[in-house]
Amino acid sequence: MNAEAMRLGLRHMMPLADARAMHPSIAVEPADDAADARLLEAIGDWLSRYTPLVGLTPPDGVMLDITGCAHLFGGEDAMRRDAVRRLHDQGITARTAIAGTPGAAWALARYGERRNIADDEMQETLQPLPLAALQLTPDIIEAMGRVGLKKVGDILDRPRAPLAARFGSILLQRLDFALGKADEPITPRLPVPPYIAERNLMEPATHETFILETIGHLAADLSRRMEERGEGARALQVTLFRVDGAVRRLSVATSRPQRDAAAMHRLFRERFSSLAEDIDPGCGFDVIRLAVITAEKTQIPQSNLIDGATGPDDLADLIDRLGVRFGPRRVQRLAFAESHIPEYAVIQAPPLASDLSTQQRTNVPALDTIAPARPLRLFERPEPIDAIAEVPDGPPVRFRWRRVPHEVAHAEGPERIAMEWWRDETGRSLTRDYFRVEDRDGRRFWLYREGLFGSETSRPQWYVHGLFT
Amino acid sequence: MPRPMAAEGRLPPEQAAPLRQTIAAIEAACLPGKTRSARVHVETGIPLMDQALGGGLSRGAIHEILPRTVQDLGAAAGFAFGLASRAQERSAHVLYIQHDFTSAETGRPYLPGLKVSGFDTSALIYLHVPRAEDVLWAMNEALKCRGFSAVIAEFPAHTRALDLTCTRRLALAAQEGLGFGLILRHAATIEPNAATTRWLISARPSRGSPFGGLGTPHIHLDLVKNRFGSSGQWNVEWHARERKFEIPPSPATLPGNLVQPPPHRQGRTHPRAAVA
Repeated sequence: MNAEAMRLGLRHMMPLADARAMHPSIAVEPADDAADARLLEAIGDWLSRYTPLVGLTPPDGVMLDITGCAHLFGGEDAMRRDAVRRLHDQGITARTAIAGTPGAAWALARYGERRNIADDEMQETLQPLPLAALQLTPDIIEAMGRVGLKKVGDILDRPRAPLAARFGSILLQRLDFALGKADEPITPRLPVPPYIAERNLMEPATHETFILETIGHLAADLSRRMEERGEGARALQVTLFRVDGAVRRLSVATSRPQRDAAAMHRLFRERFSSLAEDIDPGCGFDVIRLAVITAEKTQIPQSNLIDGATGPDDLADLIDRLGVRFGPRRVQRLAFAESHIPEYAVIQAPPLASDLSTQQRTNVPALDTIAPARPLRLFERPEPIDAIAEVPDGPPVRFRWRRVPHEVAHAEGPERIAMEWWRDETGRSLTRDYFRVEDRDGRRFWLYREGLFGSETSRPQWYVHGLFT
Repeated sequence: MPRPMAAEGRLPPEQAAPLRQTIAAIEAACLPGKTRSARVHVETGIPLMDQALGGGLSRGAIHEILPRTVQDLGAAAGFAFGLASRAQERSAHVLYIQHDFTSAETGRPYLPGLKVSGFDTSALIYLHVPRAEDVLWAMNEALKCRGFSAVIAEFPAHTRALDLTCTRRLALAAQEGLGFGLILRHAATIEPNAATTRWLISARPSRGSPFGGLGTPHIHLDLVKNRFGSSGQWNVEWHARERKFEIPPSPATLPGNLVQPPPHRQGRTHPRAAVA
C-alpha cells in the first residue's frame, strides 16, 4: 500500500473486495514475502553504514545499535534524519525512533509520536501506547482486551504475579525489555568484525584508483590498531556503499596473519583486477569501509628496517596475491595421501602450512631404494593405447601412443594395483597391472593393463598413465 | 640479431665467460636487496658443461627447455626438475606453474615420482591457472619475489604468450629478483625470445641396471643457444640419490662439445634391445 492508496482512504488489512468497491481502478499485486525479505536484507545491509551492529526484526523492521556511533553523524537526531532522508531518496518510507532499549524503540517507531526519548522519559512515553507496542502475539492482546487492559500504562503498576499467571511470563518479559529492566540482545545480521576503519566521502568515488587509494589509507589505520594488540588479519573485507543504496563487498584471505598496510593494499588491487565484472560504481560510492573479519595473534615484527624484505615474508605475500587473483584453491602445496591408487596418492594442502613443511623438511631425503617406481608426470586421465604383449599377462612388446609407435626395449613389472571397491562410481574398478617400460629411444612410460585376463575381462585395455624421465 | 650479440663476437668465449661471471658476482653482491644468495649460478655438476655455460646456468635469467618431440616430454620435465633440485637452497621453495590446457593434455607433476627422482617435495608449490597469459603473469611476479629458488613454467607448443617482448619482461623480472626461471615448452620449434640458454632434450637408451630393469635415466642435452658461451651437446644421466647429473662412463659416449649421430642411429647395438 503506498501513500496514494492511503490518501484514498484504504487501510492495512482491509478486505480486497471492500477496497475494490471503494475504488474499482486500484492496482493489486499479490504479496511476495521472499522479495520483501530480500528488500529488508538489502536495507539492513545499507544501514550498516551507520553502525556495524545491525539486526533485522522481520517482517518489516531493522534494529541498529548506535551506541557510540551517533556523534560521527552529528548527533542522534541528525543521524536519524540522515537515514530517513537517504532511505526516502531510495524510495523507501521509514518510521524511525531512538530509545534506550530495542523494545522501546520498536514501540515508538510503530505507535509513538516522539522520535527520540531519553531514558528517564521511557515510562511515561510508553504509557499511552497500545499493548501491541510490546510485540505481543494477537491472542494475548485479545485476552487482555477482554479484561479491559488496552494500554501499556494499564499494566505498569499492576501486581506482576497475577499478570504472569494469567497471560504468561512473556508479557512481563516484554515489558521489562521495553523499560530496560532486562537486556534484550540485538541479533546482528553479520558478525561484528574485530577491526573496522571507514571513510565517508563528501564526493562519491567512482574511480577504482581512488577507491584503492582510500583502502590503502584505511589499511594503514587498521595496521596501527592491530599492532597495538599484537594481531594480524587472516581475512579482510571491503564494503562499498553506493549512493543509491546498493552495497558491494569484496573479501580477501591471507595465508598468515597480515598487518602490513602495503600488502593489504596490494591484495585488494589484485582482487579488483581479478573481478569478472565491473564493480559498477554508478553514481559513486560514498562510504568505503575496510574491516578485518578474522584476526589472529601474531609475532611478526611490523616494520622492516632493512630494505629488501626477507624471503619467507616475500613469499607469503606473493602466495596471498596469487590466491586472491586465481582463487585460493589454485595455489597449493601438494602432499602425500595414504592411498595406493596412483591418482589418489596426492592431495592438496594450503601452501604455507609451516608446521607440516618443517616436519617434512627434517627427514629429507627419505629416498627409499625399494620405493615403487612412480612417474614424474601423471596424466589427469589415463590415455588408452594400442599395445601388443607376447603373453596375456606379460609386458607389452610394442605400443602406439599419440600416433607414434614404440618398441619396448626394457620393461619392469607388473606392479599389481587393485582398485578400492568403494570408489566404484567412476566405473574404474578393474585391477591394474602397471609396467614401467623404456622404448628403443630411451623414453620411459608408465603403462597399465586394465583388468585381469580371464577372470575380469577377455580383452584387457592398455593405458599410458604417466611419463618418466 | 640484436646488436649486443654482434659485439660479443670480438672476445673469445673462453675469455668472456669468466669476465661475465665476475661481473655477475659483483652485481649480486653490491646491488641493494640482492644479498639473499651469493650463488649466481646453478651448477650442473658436470665440469665440461659448467665450463661451456660459464660456471653453470645463471640465476637472474630465464632458460628454455624444449622436448625434441612431445614423446620426449618426460625427459624434458626430468631435466627441468633436475635443475630445480640443483638450484634448491635450504628453506627456499620451487614454484611450478601450469595452466588448465597443458595439465589436461600432458598431465601434472606427480609428487611420488618427484620424490623418487630426488626432489625435495615439501618445497614444491604448485600453481594452476586458467590461461597461458596467467602463467606469464604469475611467473613474472614469482621471479621478482626472492622466496623461490626456482620457478618452472609450462607452456603449450604453440603460444603467442612467449614472444620476444614477454620473455624480455620475464628476463628483466628474473634479473631484478635474481630468480631462476625455467620455461618448459612442449615443442621443438625454436622461436626468438630472451631466454639466456635454450635446451633441446631427448631421451637416450639407458645403460640398464645390473640387476635387470631400467636403471638410471639417460638423456641427451642439446644446448642450442647460449648467450654467455658456446653451445654443445651432452649425454647425461640423472642420479636421484646424489641429485646430480653425470656423464655415463660408457665408451660409447663421446666427450662434450662434439656433435654426435642422431639418437635413432645409436643404441642399436644395445644388448637389451634384443628382448623385443
